[in-house]
Amino acid sequence: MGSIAFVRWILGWVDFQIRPRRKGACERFLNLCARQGVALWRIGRSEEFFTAAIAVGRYEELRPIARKAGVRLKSGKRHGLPFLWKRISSRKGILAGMVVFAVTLHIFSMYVWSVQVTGNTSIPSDQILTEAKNLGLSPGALKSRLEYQELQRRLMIAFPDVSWLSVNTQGCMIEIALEERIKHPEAENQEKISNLKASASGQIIKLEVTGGALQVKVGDAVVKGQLLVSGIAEDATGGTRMMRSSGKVIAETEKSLVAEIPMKQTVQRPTGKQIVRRSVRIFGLELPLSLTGRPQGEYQKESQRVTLKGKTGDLPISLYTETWSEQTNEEITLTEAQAEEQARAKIEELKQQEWKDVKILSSNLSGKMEGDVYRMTLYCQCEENIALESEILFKP
Amino acid sequence: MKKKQVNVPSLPPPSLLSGFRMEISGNREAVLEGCGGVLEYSEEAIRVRAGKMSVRFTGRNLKIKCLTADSLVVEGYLTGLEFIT
Repeated sequence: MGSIAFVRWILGWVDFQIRPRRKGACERFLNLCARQGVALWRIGRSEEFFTAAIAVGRYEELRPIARKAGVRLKSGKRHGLPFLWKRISSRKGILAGMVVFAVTLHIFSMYVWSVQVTGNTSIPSDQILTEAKNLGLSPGALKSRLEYQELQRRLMIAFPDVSWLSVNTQGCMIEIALEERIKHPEAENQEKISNLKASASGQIIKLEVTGGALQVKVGDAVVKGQLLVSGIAEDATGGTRMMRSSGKVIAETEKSLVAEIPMKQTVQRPTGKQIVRRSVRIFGLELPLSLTGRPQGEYQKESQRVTLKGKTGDLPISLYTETWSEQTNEEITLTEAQAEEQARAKIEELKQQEWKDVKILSSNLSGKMEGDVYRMTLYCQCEENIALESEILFKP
Repeated sequence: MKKKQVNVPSLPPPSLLSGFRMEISGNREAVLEGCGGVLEYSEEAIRVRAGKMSVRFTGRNLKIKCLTADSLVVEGYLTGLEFIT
């Protein structure tokens, strides 16, 4: 039914009134039309007249039938493409708009709108996008110039940790789908001959040695650099056997950390003066929106890029905002409490950096002023693995 | 010699509505094929020629949706159907 309506709309049709001159004339008119093969539809009637619709090209055929049936015809509203076209063609603006729209749509669909990376876990998306950009794949690139197979090959070469990569097109969006390689664990080099030495002084509390000849026992006190496990062992016959030493030697050690905070410091403070620079990127083309240049002097820069998002993903339009805040150097003198707070923070930072695998059993934190410096010291009783592998090298 | 019996399909008896076919969808639409013309047309009643008879539809808001040389579609709330000889 929809297809019939569509064909009628394409050909154009007209509503008309059938006014009878005598009783029964309208019915006669309908029968004559039917007999002569003139198809009518939307046949309705009111008190005075009948209404119907006919294809616009056949309206003229109704005149002799109307005369014969004794009715008068009055054409009404016209529908369909021919009449719509007539209305539109007289309005050049709409016509031009339609053409511009069609051309714009065609041109814009020729370019890449957005590039997305999926499937990566350890390789940052930015790194992949930068490499893709270097190979010519970026928002604004002409789709017809892209060689997808070549792109895939080159991206695979650029990222050896990728086991599989595919460049897929979804309309104007390009998806770089990849799978990262699962790294094999490194095989242990058994040919290496090594000792285990103490990395710190302390008392041994636990031994978990899997290779080598043990030189110490639980409860022994050892000093830094002392041999704990030897890679050269003598057998019962007096022969020498060389091997790789491995394992853990857990010892109770004493460790300390020192943080020094100068009481007089130079800090940067914002003056409140800010310069904002904006630019818009359309299809990879950066257009500045501000005429302000890069400011000279002490400024701190903060930047943000906002990419417009559509239903299918990122659009090739983004707004970049740079905020430059003027800074001034100011000399300040800390109070003891402020210095202590800074020192505590620094000690925590050092603990995170240097004592990753160390278990602290007990600690003692003390701080004092020493001239213009606040010194904080942390003494700890720790439990840690002090076994440090030291290779035995042989000269051929 | 036995006579062989052959099953001949039974044909309906000849009717006065020769060549006329009607399909009614609920009480809202009737499609008529092989009709000979419209005899009466109003919102309450539509009468059409069907062979040697005429068929009269009664109802509310009746309309002829489509009319061609030998078929028409009646639309509206059909309340009655009469075969008039």
